[in-house]
Amino acid sequence: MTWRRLGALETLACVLLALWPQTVRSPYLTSVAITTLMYVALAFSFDLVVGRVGLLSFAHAGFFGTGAYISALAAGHLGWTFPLRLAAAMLGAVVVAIVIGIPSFRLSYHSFAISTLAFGVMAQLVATNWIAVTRGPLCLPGVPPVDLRLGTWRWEARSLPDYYYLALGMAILAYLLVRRLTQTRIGRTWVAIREDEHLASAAGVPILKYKMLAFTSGAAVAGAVGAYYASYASVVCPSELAFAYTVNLIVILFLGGRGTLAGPPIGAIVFTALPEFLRIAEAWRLVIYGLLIILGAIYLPDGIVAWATRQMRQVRRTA
Amino acid sequence: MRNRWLILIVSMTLAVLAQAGPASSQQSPIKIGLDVPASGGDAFEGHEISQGAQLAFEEQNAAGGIGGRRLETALGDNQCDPAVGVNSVRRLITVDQVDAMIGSGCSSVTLAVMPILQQGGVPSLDVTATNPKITEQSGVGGNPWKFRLNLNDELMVTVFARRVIAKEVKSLAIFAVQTDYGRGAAEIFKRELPGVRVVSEEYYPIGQAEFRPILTRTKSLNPEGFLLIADYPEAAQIISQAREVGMSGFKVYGRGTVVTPEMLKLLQNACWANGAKEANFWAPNEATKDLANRYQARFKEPLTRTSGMGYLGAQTLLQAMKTIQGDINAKSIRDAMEKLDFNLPGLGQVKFDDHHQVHYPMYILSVQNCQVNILETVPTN
Amino acid sequence: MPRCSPEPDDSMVILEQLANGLSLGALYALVAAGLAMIFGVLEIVNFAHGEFLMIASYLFFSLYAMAGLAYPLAAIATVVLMALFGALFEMLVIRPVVHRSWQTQLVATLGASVLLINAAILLFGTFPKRAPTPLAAQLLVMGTVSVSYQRILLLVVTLGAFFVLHLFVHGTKLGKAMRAVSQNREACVAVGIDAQRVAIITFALGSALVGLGAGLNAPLGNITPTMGILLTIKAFAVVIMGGFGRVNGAIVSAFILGVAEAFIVQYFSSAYVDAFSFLVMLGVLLLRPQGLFGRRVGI
Repeated sequence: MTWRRLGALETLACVLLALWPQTVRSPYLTSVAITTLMYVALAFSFDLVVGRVGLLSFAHAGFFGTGAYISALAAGHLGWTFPLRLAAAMLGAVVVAIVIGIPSFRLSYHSFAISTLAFGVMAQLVATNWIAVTRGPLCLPGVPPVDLRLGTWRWEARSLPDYYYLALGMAILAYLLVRRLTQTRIGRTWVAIREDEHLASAAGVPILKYKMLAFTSGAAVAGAVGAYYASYASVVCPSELAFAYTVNLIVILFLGGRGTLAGPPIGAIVFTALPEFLRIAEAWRLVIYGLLIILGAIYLPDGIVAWATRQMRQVRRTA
Repeated sequence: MRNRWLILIVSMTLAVLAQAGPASSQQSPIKIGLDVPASGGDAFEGHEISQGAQLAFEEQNAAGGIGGRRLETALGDNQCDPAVGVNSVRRLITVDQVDAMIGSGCSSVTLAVMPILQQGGVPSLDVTATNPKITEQSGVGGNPWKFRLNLNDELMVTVFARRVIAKEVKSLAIFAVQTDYGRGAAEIFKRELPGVRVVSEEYYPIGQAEFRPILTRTKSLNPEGFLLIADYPEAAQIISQAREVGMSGFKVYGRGTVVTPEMLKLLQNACWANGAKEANFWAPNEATKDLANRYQARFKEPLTRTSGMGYLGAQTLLQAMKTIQGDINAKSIRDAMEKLDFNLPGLGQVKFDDHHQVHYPMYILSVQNCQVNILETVPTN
Repeated sequence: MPRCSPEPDDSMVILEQLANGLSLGALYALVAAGLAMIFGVLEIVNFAHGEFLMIASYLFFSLYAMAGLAYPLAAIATVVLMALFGALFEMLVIRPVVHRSWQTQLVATLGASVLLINAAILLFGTFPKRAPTPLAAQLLVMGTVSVSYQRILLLVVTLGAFFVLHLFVHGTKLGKAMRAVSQNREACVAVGIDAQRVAIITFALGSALVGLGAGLNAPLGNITPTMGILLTIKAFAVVIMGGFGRVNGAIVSAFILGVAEAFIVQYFSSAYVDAFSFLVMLGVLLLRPQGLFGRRVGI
């Protein structure tokens, strides 16, 4: 693997992505691209927890939702601009992650999964029932768009392309963050914990700290995406914390390939592009989706990236 | 090897692009978007609205269409989720290029997609969402593209509370579905019943099956009245289990689709609901009997309030289109809707006020002799 | 908002809620027992288990309400057909992923859950189906406690079924093989126990229990494609509380949960009742990571 070729591919991809709204004149496709990019960023953040450290967490939709709600509330009650809302959202998500993580990390892997599942469900219950704060099913409408203010100069995201570029920036930042983290000692330690926790512990690694680091980093990024989303959709509802979103993330990660850099984006693209292809058979769409998940688990247990890599290696061998 | 990734990404991109290529330049059919929840807990609502509307359009097509143009529908699934709804409505407007829409089925989605309607310049007719905010934000001073055919809760609840409930009971237990409409309606009820003591206010999520514990508790509080803000699948379960738990001697009130034939059909014995009363913007009556037969014949399912409203909503759009002299497109349909003033059998006089709300009479229904009866028809102007 | 009540209270209300709770618990127990068995013997987290109940309920509906079979026949047929379904599920979905990581297995069952829910929507639509029996309409009234005979049937047959299950697991060779595999899979294979056969039987048995649950419970309520989703999560909570695969523990925990839920609704809040269930589970996990009845091994 040469760095130059890697750079060329990524540059090419970036150019393609950068010109998307201009080449694709359809607002609908741009909004699909925005959704895809949000999922890419979320998938990267989720991979920190699931792929790098090996913890199966069902709480991620909760972090996303927390960020969205905090951002909406900060805008409505405090009138903050986006950078402040973003910071608040990330901080809030981190706090929630700590609250969930401290009790849950002590548990076995199965229990951890169920524990995060329980927290995820409870988060949605709170969002639905804490009417005084979240207005429950009446939602928090009127979230202002992404805005920046420096003295008298003001900028506001107004059009779809504006939001597209913001989402693109988010996805790229998430990618860079994950890439950076995995290249450092932190990343290697995570892998050590993932592969054999007891051995790592015996070698003196403070397991809890590293798990918490992955968990909170993932939560912070998810919270950031949530803050962005609140402004993009301009309304935040309890349904944003639904279990289905966590299922989507799990599918994306497992389809794409956990613990890799190409896995999350590939998974996100396939996951959002696939329903477009299946749109012809509306009623059957979700049945096929379920079937594909099963087949994916059976035949592509490490994800598309790993499978494709293996295929290409074979091709190269025979070539 | 990396090139293959590029090829993969590019080819998928192109494939997606190809899918969404320019719509066929043949402008003939008039396209109506159905912005409804087609999956999820509210899927029955979306299913019924679509079928009702489809029947109306099929009949019109059989009669030659409008101005020689066929009517086609495009289905958008908003899953009763504002974020999904926003994308779905965008797709209906830009990809399917609909000329008008019926939707959104859920009040929260309706509110969220209002700006999209404005940007896209497509009129949308609501047929079931009852949140009063929608009226506030439509028409004059608000969104000129949104119209509502069904009555909203502000109108109906006020009348029902003052005219019926306040006169019959001194204490009330409220039991509502945990959605925007359930919460919204409950708030209005509480506001309009100042003299009535609300002994409990409980909310349940859509799809809940087990109500015995909460019903036992309600029974122990001994209210004179029991207000059920629910749709018929859960209403039937609640009434069945209320009986099983031993609740009796209460007056039952509904706001949703409680006192409807579809609810009674779900009861093991329709007589269990005797005495229940409800306010609604729709009731099966003589005028809708023929429609019910046609609907049953076409879809092998009985006509319900929601499918009936889907049909009537489509009829409203058709009527508007018939009055248009020139080209039928989104803007001309909108203008025609604002000027509409006609009698729609099964509903009443359809004329949109300056907030694009219709004011035909509402019904107060009750279950008597194990059947739905119209107790009163109350004007809402 | 949650409340802590001083409220007009009766000791009869306590009895009534107890009856409600036991009825809730019976259904939880039937679902959780199967799940516990599967988890205990195969260490598989079957995310589609709630959907098994949903499928079984539709099956029962088809046999009883549509085909018009007599109630006992329809119920028994449901049990048998569900056993077959479970075996089939094991062979098609579980067997191919049995050597993969448990996360992959979970994803496979997650996919199965999505598939089953949407297949049900396709076949039956989203409009709730009802399959009430005459017993569901006849009430037994004792003071202010009022229950339908169908519900009493649910309780009685459930307890009977668990008794039979207990005999099976502790008395028969197959049952003992299941317990052995759940305790130490490798050793069993070495000794010659056919782990694959045990896997099929476990799934079949777990599904049969769910089938019984459907036959008893479906007449009591609405049958919808999404009725199993929350149930899966609660069943997991119960399995964990019961000790990670200990069937007896799961059963007891299920009844405890059912009763707890009824009393939480009575004295605290109906909106947050599910949250309380999970908090209880989390509390148990933190204080006793092996569950209330667990010993970290075996059924």
